[in-house]
Amino acid sequence: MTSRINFCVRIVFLTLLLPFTHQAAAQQPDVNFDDFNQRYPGQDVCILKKSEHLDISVSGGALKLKSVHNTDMLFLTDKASMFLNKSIYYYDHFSDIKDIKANSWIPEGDKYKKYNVGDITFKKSKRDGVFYDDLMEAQFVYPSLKKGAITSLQYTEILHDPHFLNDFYFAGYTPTENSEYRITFPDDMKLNYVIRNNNGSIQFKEERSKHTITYTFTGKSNGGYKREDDAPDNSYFMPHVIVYIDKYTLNNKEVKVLSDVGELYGWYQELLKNLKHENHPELKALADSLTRNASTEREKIKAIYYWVQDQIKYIAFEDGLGGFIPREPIETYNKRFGDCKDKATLLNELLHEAGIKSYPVWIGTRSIPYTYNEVPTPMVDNHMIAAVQDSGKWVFMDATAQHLPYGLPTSMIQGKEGLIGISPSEYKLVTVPETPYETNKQEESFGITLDGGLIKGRGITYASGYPAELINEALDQVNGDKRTEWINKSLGLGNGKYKATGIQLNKDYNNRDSSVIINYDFEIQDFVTTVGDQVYVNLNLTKYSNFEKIDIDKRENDKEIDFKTSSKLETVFKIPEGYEIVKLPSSQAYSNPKFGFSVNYSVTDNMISLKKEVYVNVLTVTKADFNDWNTAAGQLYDASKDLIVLKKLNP
Amino acid sequence: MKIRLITLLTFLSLQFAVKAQEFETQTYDLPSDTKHAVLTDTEKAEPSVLLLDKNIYEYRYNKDGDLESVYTKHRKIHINDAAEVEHYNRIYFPVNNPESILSLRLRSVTKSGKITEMKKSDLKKITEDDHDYMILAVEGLEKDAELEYFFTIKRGVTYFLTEFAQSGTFIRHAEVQVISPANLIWEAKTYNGEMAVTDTVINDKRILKYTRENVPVLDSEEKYAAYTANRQRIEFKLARNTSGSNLRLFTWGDAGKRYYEIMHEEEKSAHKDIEKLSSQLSLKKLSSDEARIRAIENFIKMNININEQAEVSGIPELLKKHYGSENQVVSLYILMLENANIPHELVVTTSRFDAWFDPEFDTWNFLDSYLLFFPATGKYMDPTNILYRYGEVPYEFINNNGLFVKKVSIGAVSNGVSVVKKIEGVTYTDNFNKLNAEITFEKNMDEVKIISKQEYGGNADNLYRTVYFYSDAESRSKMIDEIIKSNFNDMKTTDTKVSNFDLTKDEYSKPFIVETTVNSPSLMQHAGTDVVFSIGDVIGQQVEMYQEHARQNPIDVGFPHYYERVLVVTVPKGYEVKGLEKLEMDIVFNDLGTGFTSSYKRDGDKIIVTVNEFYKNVQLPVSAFDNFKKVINAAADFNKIKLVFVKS
Repeated sequence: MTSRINFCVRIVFLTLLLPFTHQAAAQQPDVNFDDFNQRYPGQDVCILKKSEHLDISVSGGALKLKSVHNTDMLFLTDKASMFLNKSIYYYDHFSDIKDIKANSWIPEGDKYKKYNVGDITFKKSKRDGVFYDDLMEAQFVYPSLKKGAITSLQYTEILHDPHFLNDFYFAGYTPTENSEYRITFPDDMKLNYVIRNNNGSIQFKEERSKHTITYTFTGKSNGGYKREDDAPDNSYFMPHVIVYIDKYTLNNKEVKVLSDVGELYGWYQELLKNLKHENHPELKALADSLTRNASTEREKIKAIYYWVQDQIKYIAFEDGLGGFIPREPIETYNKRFGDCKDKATLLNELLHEAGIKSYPVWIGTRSIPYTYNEVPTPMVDNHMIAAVQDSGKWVFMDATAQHLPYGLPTSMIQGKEGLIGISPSEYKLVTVPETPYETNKQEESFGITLDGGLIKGRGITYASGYPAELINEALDQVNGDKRTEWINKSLGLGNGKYKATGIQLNKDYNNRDSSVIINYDFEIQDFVTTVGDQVYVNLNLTKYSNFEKIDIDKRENDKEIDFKTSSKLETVFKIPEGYEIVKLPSSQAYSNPKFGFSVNYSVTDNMISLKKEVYVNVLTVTKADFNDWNTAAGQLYDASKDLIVLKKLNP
Repeated sequence: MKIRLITLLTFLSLQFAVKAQEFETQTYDLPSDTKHAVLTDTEKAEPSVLLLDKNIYEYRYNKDGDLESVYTKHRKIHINDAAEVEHYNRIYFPVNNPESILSLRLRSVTKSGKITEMKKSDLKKITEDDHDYMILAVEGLEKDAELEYFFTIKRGVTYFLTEFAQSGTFIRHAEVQVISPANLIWEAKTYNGEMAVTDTVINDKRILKYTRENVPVLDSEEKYAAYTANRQRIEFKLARNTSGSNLRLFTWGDAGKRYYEIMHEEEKSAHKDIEKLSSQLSLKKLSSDEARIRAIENFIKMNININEQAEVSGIPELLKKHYGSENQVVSLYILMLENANIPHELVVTTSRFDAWFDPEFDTWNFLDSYLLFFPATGKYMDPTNILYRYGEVPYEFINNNGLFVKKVSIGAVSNGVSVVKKIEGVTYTDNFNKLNAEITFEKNMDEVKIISKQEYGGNADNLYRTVYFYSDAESRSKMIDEIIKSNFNDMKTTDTKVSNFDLTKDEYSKPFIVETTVNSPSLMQHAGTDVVFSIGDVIGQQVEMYQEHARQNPIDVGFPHYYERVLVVTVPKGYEVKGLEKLEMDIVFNDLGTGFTSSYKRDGDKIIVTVNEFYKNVQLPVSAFDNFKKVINAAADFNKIKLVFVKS
């Protein structure tokens, strides 16, 4: 998912990698090892102090931003030597790192001996999923680490762009004893800050001196957060502060930076202003040829949108501000690759060539919790898409998702706020809809009989919406025989001991406006249990895996779900001749507005049918819902285990 | 290859002035013809085709009479499937600066004939997995397009080359050449298939050329297979220099001597530090050589990190800073072991998943991983891998050959004497997973209660022990949950106890044990008053090979091992149990050293089920696949067994 994300993810990423702290200890540390060891049992390391002190000043006719980072860490176990490699990451364009002072304090007798870090290597680095960016890495090794050792790190960061200040996290996965973020700025500067996930853990203090104001944010001791699967991003639950410059005075003139969404939008437009929007006959010709047979505007949009999805591959260059400025559409067209903003810009250009109004949209994916009004900084978004108005409704188009149909937003931006660029001076904030569960269907139906101990039958798998998109993404990776093999394996029938034959994918499975339908014949061995003249059969030929119980005792975070779904399993079982039904499972159901299921058995003539329906109508299962979720999951699980009992009639 | 060859380099230089030679590949270029290839039916069925995959390693003497080397790669690719574009639109160059790329041309040609040619100035420098590369994004690539490129880069002079001629993509024409001054005699050996060879001398240049047409795709996804080692591969080595002594160069004996030298460079200079560390670890006071070996290993593995980037002057500085190069760390082991008079041999080998170490062909490219061998006990140690301790090594080395280097002293002179032999000493009894499960039923037959004890020996613990040892409390409990959870969808565990996980203590020689009590409704299915119990699932989910296609790769089971499971089921009062006969299974292939058996006996209200499974051989030929699959699937079939409790 992150591979499609561009620009501003970098800032969040940067901060998380860097634990920062207080003054590099110049004198003997004063630490009661046993105290920490008792307070953080089972932990290998804790952060004694972390801090960032940002100093903003105006000098030489320019704004100067200098941040001093400090981190002191204490190693609690014999595994200390595992932590001796250290890296500081930063983006070359946005900051410089200098004056790195790092050392280990090694307990020897009742004193600490200081070992300075030797060479620091600066090298090119790279974020995963990006083709090229300007991420840099300063690497060094802490000497002599062992149990009880302390490491001290201090360095200075020079920030080059007032639009990009760091956020600061007061706690993380590692226990943190003391944390402090301090910012000093000229008293004629307006500075805004947003505190998230405070819960009383952050103290704020404001101090004024002659020409400056100082804000100090202090965090409380924190035992560390748990890493959990399907948890929301850290920014949803870890206490942190975001600071941004509203405006300041330079040479007696007021300079606005990020006072509100309008200001942010203005700056984004500023970055786009060099795009030429020249008329290119090739783009015009392409738009014409793609829309030639389209009779409605919607058909035209689809033809162009799908062409960009198919033909422009995702490769991201994020070199400095290049991470924020799209390439010329003609360039993206010629190269046949681009990142999200390149694709969105080409898509808009082609639509314009076809006479259709379309707009660029800045947006943050679900990993970012802020709205534009809360945090009007580049930290709020990390993605760009395009939008059109269709029958009075906004339709969002993400050309980085190759198999996404027109009309659906990418699942990762559902419910998020998009900043739509109407004109260079006008924008709109519109919330992307959450795709209803009815759209995302995954259905299976089976017609089966029993032949000896063998289940034989025909199956149909049906998928629409996001499930169909996912199947198409997977099918892209496999071809020919491998494709049939992959489909066969992913059917996951019965106990796994099955053979599917005559697997047929519908002709237009990869037509985005269609669904995926797979037809096949199959046999399952050893799935029914026969004892004497009784036969036990489970009609749940596949397991529904999206609805598993949550370990309530241990779980700390909400559980995120990629998209809402509606799934269905229908099995029609022809009772073999000479058998009668001894026992039919009872029908069951659970339902609330957020999730539910129903299981129904019925008999007509010599057919038993099972109809099971499950829906999940939320993108996040919150802790408050956990009990209900587990009740439903437990009932569904039990119901899925129920057996039919048949008995052989006496001849 | 871990040997720094510096001392060996100079003798290959010519001792007299020569006219500097030109590189043949200096004028290499792409063909001017950009017409698309005509594909055969086989090729049309492939997602993409490597029409040409050509690799040329060239050597020449410069004006000083020193050897220089360049490498040329030329590829032509036809894309049939749009999804393949993403595999080819990023080209990596194995250099860290643009100056090392001597020439480069790269073009895409669409079906309609539109040509896009890339520029060298678009190259970008990146670092991935600690390696520097130059990369280029390929423009204009789409379905039915062709990509053709070549580049020539400077490379360090090496005397051993490895090149693959098979992959997951169909190759129409594979070619590897070594071009060198005529006095240098190269030898080559192909593995996993034959290639056509020509050896010619033209104008003082020797050209050794290997080719193969229509190389089939090798499936990389088969289970129990050593994919990389099974790919068609060619190894080259410089064997003789006719202007020199003309004796065979780089023999196994030479390698052994050189390793000995490297390991003993600091024998004198670090002597004091070695003595000091030995006394700090109280080696003399320890009761046995094994205890001393463990003490040395624990100290090094818990305190010293391997870091090839940081410059550390030698062992004294390494001991102070707690980090150093791999060679320095291994040298520290050897000097410590010698100081304690513990007999040992250095073993240099390679993973058998990468290549089978061929004793008949002395290329030093097989020499890339260190082990230590202790002849007194027949045990091995991996000195640099902190996940393993003395007595157990990563199984990738088992069954491969290795270069064993032993110290031999004549008078005051010591030397390294070497021999190539198999890394043996691990049998299937060393690696095991035992399960003992006492099974009863609770809550009106809604839940099964299993008091279980799992024992893992040797490699069979899947590194559970190591991961457990190195993890913090949170990850430990997560991991144990995962081990147990693999059997049960919905469960509650109580009385969990984990033993013998401390790698630094003697308990390491005992099996890793996880004991727990699980309560779960997962294995129970109700049908009226009858209850169906999935007894087969108690042994955990087994690998299934029900859907396999025709086998390509020989079988590699990783390491020899066995399973022994005893399940004791107490039949609940008032119930009669049915379906026991399914528990009798006997699928054994003694000729292959593998089998699966299951049987039961009744003892009052108890049913005692004994399940055995064993794999005595690490490797088996393709021809054994059908029977091997039967054993694998026997375990998976056991998973499907259910008992029915009927109200009596």
